[in-house]
Amino acid sequence: MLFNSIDFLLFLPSVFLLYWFVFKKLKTQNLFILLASYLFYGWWDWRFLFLILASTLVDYSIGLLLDKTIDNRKRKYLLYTSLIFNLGLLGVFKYYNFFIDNWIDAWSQLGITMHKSSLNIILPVGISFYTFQTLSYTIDVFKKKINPTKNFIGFASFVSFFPQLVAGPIERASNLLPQFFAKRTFSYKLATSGMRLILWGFFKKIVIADNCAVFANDIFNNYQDQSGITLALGAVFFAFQIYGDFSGYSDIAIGVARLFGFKLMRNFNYPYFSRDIAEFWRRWHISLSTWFRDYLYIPLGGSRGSKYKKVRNVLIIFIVSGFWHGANWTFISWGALNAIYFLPLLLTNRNRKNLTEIAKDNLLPSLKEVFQIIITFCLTTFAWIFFRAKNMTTALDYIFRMFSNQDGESIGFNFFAIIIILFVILEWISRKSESIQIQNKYVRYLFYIIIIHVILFYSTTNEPQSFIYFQF
Amino acid sequence: MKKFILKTSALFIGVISINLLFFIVLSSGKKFLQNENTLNSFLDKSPQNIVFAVGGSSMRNSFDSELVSTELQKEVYNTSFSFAHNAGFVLNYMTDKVKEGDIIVFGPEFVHYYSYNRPITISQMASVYNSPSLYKYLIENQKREFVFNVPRMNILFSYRLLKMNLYPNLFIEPNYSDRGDYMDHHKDKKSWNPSNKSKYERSNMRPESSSGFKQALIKANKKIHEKGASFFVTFPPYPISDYDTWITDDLLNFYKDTSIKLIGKPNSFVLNDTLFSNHPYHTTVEGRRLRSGIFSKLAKKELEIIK
Repeated sequence: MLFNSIDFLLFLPSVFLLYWFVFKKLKTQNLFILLASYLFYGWWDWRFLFLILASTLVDYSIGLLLDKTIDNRKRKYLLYTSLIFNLGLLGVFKYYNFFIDNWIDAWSQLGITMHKSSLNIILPVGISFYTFQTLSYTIDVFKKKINPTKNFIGFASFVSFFPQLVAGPIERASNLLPQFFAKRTFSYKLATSGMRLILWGFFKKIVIADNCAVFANDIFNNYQDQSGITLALGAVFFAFQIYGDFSGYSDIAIGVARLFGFKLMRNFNYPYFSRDIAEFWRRWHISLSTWFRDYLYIPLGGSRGSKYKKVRNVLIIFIVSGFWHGANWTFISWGALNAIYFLPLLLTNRNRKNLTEIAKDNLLPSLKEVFQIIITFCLTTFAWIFFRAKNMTTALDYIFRMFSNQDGESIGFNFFAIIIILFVILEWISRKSESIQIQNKYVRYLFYIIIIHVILFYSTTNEPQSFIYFQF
Repeated sequence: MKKFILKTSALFIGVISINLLFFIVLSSGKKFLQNENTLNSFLDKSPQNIVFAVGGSSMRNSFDSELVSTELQKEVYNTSFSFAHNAGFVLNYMTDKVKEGDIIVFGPEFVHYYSYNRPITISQMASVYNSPSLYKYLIENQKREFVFNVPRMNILFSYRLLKMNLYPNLFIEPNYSDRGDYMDHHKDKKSWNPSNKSKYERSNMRPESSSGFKQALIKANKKIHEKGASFFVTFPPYPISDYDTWITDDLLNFYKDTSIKLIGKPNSFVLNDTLFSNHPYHTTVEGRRLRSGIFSKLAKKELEIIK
């Protein structure tokens, strides 16, 4: 079920009202959330439910077994079982075709032709998100950071919690799981802040992302005919598309969770106002970045040790992060490119230089900050070309043409450019909080009404687009 | 909780009320689409025993009612909307307006045979917004779509009204004859040509013809006959280089097991490419004359049978 669909428009208020008015006890509320989440997920394809149920059962059982086992060797085996199972699911459903294709290609380089056994595997929506969430639970139980739960319904609800099930934020068990066991009371403040996030999330998705998608798709799909400047603009449109799409989804997810009394972690913190790549990665897809930091980078040694180890660890984390996004060399290259951006900062100990808030006590950034923001934005936008391109050949050809095509089609100034500029201004104004804050009640409601109308206008102008991150 | 539900509901009710208010104010008085207003009022007070040529822009732009009227010795009126109007909508509309003794000649475009349940188009929404009484003629899925599109149309029409007031001569609608034919051919640039990639119709065609469209035609045929009127289907003019020959068999097959009477065959109005202007359905003046001449010859035979 898409957030931007009529189905969800009916689903959300129904679940909300039943949750607070009919199922008032904690146990029944959890059971109801579980059923609602399965309905939400099964809306795509009911067969996906078997997979999430299997993942839930495996990690629930391993959690309990880890608690009962004192023998470290046995505990390790249990952890490996969870890792093999969860990563195996990803391997089969997400990476099978990638590995087979590359295997065949490698042999064909040696003149040996192999035939692919065709397996038409459907990628289950959100598999990368919930497998990482369950993995974090097992790893934390293994490390004795959290106690395993015996409450299966609570655990299953944690794994399948519908607001963040298909595209995150990837929650840690230590944050979300206890919330399923504590009595939840309705908080007006939390719910209204949730509604604000939902509204702003829809604005980002429907107005910014879906409109940028029209331009970005057109330019990327016909890139051979475009001028260099148009190709550069295509990358900029995609940068806004992916930000609006993914951060919009996260805002809606966090907002919806708040309506049910849950607090999810922040996933985006105005990443395009970052002053360097290190800051960008502290602000972009925070739940995934911190997941990799805690469960991969630090266990590998993090930024400690020799220069070689530092470089190795950074390359591993960025490349794995790229590969997490999809089974394609373009994602791996995107990750590697970000590692290349990041390494000079790490090696010169400047990766934690920009920890303070940008333009903290000022309305506008300094010239130096503007320059830094623009440079960082250009670097990330350049990397997005790999992320968006269908394959490496297209990505490289796109970049080549971007710098060499003098002639070709150009896109004219569009009314939509004004909306993007207004969006950037609004984001700048609200950068110190999670969404725009307007004190005056009348101005605030007027603002809501305008935003609702802009959303309504564009929701019927463009075809509803699926969220990009659903494919990961 | 109560406060939250009340405030949220108030906000949504507020949004709905604002839109309803805008819709009522803007759609009253039929401020827009003067040609369609004329068409609606004409149909409401038209005499009996006349021939209505009904269709999309292939009928509107490429049909000479004056010539056909002379040839058939009957009053002929062109009451077509644009191509973008769903065929089901046009049929519902005509079925309701038709009077005893009238002859309806319906000329759907090829794409209508393959995609009946198309999403509502902006021009169709504009027609209904301008004359809300047309809402009842929308097909079911379009009725819901229209409701969801009201906020968008409110914004678009408010903007249009603003521009109309600021620049009174900005929106000049095309000229139509007293019989409802498009008369601004001299302004049309020759922008369609055989080398166009568009393959306009083919890109919209589905592998199978629409059963929904067939049912709508059968239903309209039955209702029109019940009212004591006659119903015919004819085919659009089309440039020869863009025409796929399989269409002929496919569409004749479409009508094989129905009692719907046809005027011509799908390929009867396939004309030379030079006779088309800005669209593969929009003929030049010469193309219009030729198409109407062919139509008159074929129609005479059919009308003789009715007598």
